[in-house]
Amino acid sequence: MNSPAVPITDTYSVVAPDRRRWSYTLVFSVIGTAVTAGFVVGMVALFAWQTLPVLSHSGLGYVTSNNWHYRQQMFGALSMIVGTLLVSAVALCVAAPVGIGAAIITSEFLPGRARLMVKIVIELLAGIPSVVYGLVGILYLRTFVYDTFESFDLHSGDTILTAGLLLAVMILPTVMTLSDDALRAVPALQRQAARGLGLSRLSAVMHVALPQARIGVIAAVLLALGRALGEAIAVFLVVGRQDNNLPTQPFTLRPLLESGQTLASKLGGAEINIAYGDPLHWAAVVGLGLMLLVMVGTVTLLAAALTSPKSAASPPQPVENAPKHARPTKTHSTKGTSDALLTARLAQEPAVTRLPKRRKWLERFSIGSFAACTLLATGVMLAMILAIFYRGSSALSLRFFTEQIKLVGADGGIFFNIIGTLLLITTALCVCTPIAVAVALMQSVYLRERAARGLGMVLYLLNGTPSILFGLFGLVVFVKFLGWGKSWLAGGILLGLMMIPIVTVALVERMKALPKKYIEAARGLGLSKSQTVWSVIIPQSRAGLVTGSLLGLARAAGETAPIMFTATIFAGAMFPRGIVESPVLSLPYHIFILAQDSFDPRVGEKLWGTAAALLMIVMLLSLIALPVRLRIHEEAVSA
Amino acid sequence: MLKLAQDSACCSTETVSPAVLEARGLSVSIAGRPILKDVNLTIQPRQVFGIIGPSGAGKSTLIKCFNRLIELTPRAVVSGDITFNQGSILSGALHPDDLRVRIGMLFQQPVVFPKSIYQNVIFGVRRLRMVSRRALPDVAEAALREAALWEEVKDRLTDSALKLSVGQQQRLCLARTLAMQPEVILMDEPTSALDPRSTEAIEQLMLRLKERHTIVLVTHNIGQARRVCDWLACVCVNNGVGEVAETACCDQMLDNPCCQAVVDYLKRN
Amino acid sequence: MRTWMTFGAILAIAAPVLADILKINGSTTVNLPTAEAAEILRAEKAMTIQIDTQGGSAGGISALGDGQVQIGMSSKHITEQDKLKYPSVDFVETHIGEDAVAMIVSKDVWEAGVRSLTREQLADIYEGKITNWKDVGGADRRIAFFNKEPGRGTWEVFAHFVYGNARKAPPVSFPEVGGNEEARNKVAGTRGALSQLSSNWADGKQVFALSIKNDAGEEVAPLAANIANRKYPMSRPLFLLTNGAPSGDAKVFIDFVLSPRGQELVRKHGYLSLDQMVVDGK
Ligand SMILES: Nc1ncnc2c1ncn2[C@@H]1O[C@H](COP(=O)(O)OP(=O)(O)OP(=O)(O)O)[C@@H](O)[C@H]1O
Ligand SMILES: [Mg+2]
Repeated sequence: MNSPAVPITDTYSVVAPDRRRWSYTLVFSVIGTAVTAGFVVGMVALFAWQTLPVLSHSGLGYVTSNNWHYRQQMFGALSMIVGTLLVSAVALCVAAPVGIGAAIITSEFLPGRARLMVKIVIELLAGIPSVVYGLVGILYLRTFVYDTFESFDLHSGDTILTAGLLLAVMILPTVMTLSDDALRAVPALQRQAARGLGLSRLSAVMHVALPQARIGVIAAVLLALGRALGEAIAVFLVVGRQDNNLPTQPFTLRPLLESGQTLASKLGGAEINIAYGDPLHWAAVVGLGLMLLVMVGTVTLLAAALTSPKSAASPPQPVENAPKHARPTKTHSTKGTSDALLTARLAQEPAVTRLPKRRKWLERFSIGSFAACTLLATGVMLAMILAIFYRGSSALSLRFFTEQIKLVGADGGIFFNIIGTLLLITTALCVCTPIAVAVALMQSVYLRERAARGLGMVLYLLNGTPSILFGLFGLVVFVKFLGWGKSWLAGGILLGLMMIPIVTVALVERMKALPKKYIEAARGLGLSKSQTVWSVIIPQSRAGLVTGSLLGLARAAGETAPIMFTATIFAGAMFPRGIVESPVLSLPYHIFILAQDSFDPRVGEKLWGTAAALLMIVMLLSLIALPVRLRIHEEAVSA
Repeated sequence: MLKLAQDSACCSTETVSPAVLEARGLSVSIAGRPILKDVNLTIQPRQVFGIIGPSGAGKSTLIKCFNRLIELTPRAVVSGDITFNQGSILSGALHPDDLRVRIGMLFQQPVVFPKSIYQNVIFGVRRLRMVSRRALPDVAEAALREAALWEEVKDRLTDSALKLSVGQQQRLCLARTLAMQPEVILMDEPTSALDPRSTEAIEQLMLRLKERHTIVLVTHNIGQARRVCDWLACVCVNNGVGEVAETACCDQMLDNPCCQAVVDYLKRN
Repeated sequence: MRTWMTFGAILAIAAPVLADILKINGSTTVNLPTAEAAEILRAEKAMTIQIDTQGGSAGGISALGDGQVQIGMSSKHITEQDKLKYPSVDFVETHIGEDAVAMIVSKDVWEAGVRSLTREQLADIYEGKITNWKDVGGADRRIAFFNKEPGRGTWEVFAHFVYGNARKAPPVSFPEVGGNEEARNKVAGTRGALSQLSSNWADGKQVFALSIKNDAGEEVAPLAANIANRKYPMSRPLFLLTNGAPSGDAKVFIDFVLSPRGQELVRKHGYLSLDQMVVDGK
């Protein structure tokens, strides 16, 4: 490629354009996509294969019976399935309306500056690691639920409801910020036209902006649901982890107030370690992961079917059908009478048309409740951040950041935990960025409707893949099969794979929003597809890359589940000196361990200090990207 | 100078009926920058009132004041007064949303909603529940006929409006506005994105519509102004701020303008 | 191509480094003195020691069985099952101290006058036959029992005491707790709570350790003296496990834990050191 360059004979000579059928861009794109799809397929295949023993042992009872006693070799996962559904349902019922309501306020009612501020806060919050949510859940939410529902004679504050509420808070930022983006993507002219017809501000939002943004909003909710379904760590800490506790009184509040177990929380527990080596038990545990995957897959297909029946490709703008009585049949029959009809109508208009009917109270009520949603969302989030810094502040000192752990976490600092986490997320970014760009190009440039949808589905599936499954996958492949033991590289790769859908979806959104005329203009100049990609599409959609990477990195920085089996240990690791058997320390795992085990009151302080440090890293990431985001914002406003 | 221009208005044959729209001492500034200063206009019913003037003079800003759409522009400040059927629109007696029902608007580029043709036409009346559900198809048909679009779309009402040509889309927007039966229709360069045939169709429509509606038309096309307008106002920039340099009946303004700014503007076109 | 070569080179460099790393995994209970011993050895002998507490004692045993670590930490004996699962591994237990498992209750239970439970009462509670504190001398309140997670040494000790053999414990389903802090925290924050927990975590302010009433009707508290003379029935040994007799770094490490300084650490974390066991036990 870089060998004999085209000889320059004349300064003004024009080199014949490169007209190959394939290009390096295409190859790059294909490889990235193959890696992604291969990973998903490989993981599903691996889990399916490893699940076989339990299926032949328990048969259908594995999913339909309610008795999980591994010592007796009884594996019936029904209560975990139900628990997962209940917890996710609670989370969605709370987070979706609140998140979308808040997004309506931020995108449609707040002036530019205020909107940006709220968005920045919200995006910070999207980065709060699940283990920190768990910590807050243990400390505040559990007590809150226990006291509030005291009259129901709860066993304890660890309930399905507690877990659901905690998840709701966790996924709220995702719902909110992505819905806001989707709403903002609806052209301002559309709203103006609606207002010009006399619709109120709220109706213009509800009837024009929201319907047009609905695919983006559904995508936002789906992304969030994916996280909710598979969240292991936070749920683990507050759900009670009671096996076989199937609800006995459906259609009441009672099932929500019981302790329970979800598929993911089971996977976050001690049984993984016990199961490894016993093929049957291991199969039963891995099978839980497979079930989670199936659930996410179902949700994805369902949503895909809902979102767009016909026009899947370029600007997905579904067409509403006219009511049945608006029909072609009448068209022909009225032909003769139509002029008469027109004149009749011209003669006596008022009979047909009434004054506009508005429901002012409904409007006020709606706006009021949306505003309440915004306040609630930002308030809860800010309170969380404040609580973390307040409790952690006494631990934060220079020593805390520059020393290593002493006295099992009760003394010293978290220097090597910070190093480890930074190493992990840097690796993840390096792994993720090229793949995500490749996949995004494949989806929005090279593939046609149906194939692009298929790839989109794979991405959704990957996004929904519970992080704990990345951990299981890594345990089987990197730790055991490749014999790496615990290795920072394995952790980085897993986190990178995990980030792919987040970054890709953000990129694709931007690429789709790119006005066709840019691309047409570039192609009109004779640029090839790949030249257009590098000169127009990628530069124009870097905003998506930044937002996506940030959301992804924030998530990666705080993930415990993928690295706990594969990359990180509690104490004793420093700078890695190789790949094999080179674990690192990390911040989230440190929190996870200390939250369960601390022998010394000083640990509590260090624990919150660590949480605060983790948050600071995430915030730093956002601050670095702030100028870029501000510029994007300005561009959007002026457009 | 302004006063002079008004005094010199020659078309005294005009029977003086009460004005539909009247701007008195209207000034607009956006983000602290004055855009329009001391605009006085009187618009008579059932005529096409044209607004011409150089680009960036503030024509769009002015026309948006009439239905208070200007208020959607962040940091826009309006002072002075506008009356609609002798009532002030800024006083608060008439809610801006209700005002916009009675003063419809057509934009430079057609803005259709990504819905079916039928849904587009009935969008406003349905959302504001201005007709009974059963009457909706009839309203749609009447509006489409009025906008001279019926014959072209009657067999594909359920198709996406986005599939229409730009000219058809603009007429669809007009139908959507007509369905609300507004008294006034504001049109901001409605034909600038259209081909000559579609332009002609819209011009024909305007002449037909003015029997029942008042039309305020912003246009850059002097020929168009001559063809359809009864009365003209020219907005010119004076010291960086837009002002109405002259108002007069159509022929007077185009053939024999009084104000130097207008002369310059017409010469350049 | 070149990447693969670099890759290989890195692997080659990595290999010799491995030999220096002493890796330890297992019980959180044993972890406390062990981790502190590791800190001292890192500082004084420049040893590289990595410690983790994944999966509790069972995790320690399987990690050792898998060859992932050189030392496993366990608060329970190696069972026949373990040996069957890892036939090629020669598990060697080094006893480093002793810990008692207490039945701990929340403050309201303690204040309502519940001070001890018999083995039968524990079995009934575990099997769900007793669900209210009033049946064992307390107030009228439901018993919020938190079961210790499977695989934890604590649970094994409890089951061994109540059922004679952990394998005889019936299958039950209660909310489960994992780490010691988690158990303490949940018991402290729940009215009518009961759980099994390492006795030195019972602070006597928020959570309280019950005595065990033996067949003679005597209430035996989980105190050092009672543990040492085995009068208190629920105690457990703390082990460092190796594959074969300790050697190399593992031997250096274990020797240190057994030295007076190491044993001091065991006492510091609230467990009984070996000498206490011997002296008091005689
Ligand atoms: N949202 C806004 N913010 C700031 N300035 C604005 C805004 N909208 C319009 N202006 C300014 O107001 C002035 C008048 O704009 P307007 O669009 O009314 O001109 P116009 O006469 O309609 O021009 P054209 O014939 O090109 O459409 C211009 O100088 C423009 O820069
Ligand atoms: Mg304009």
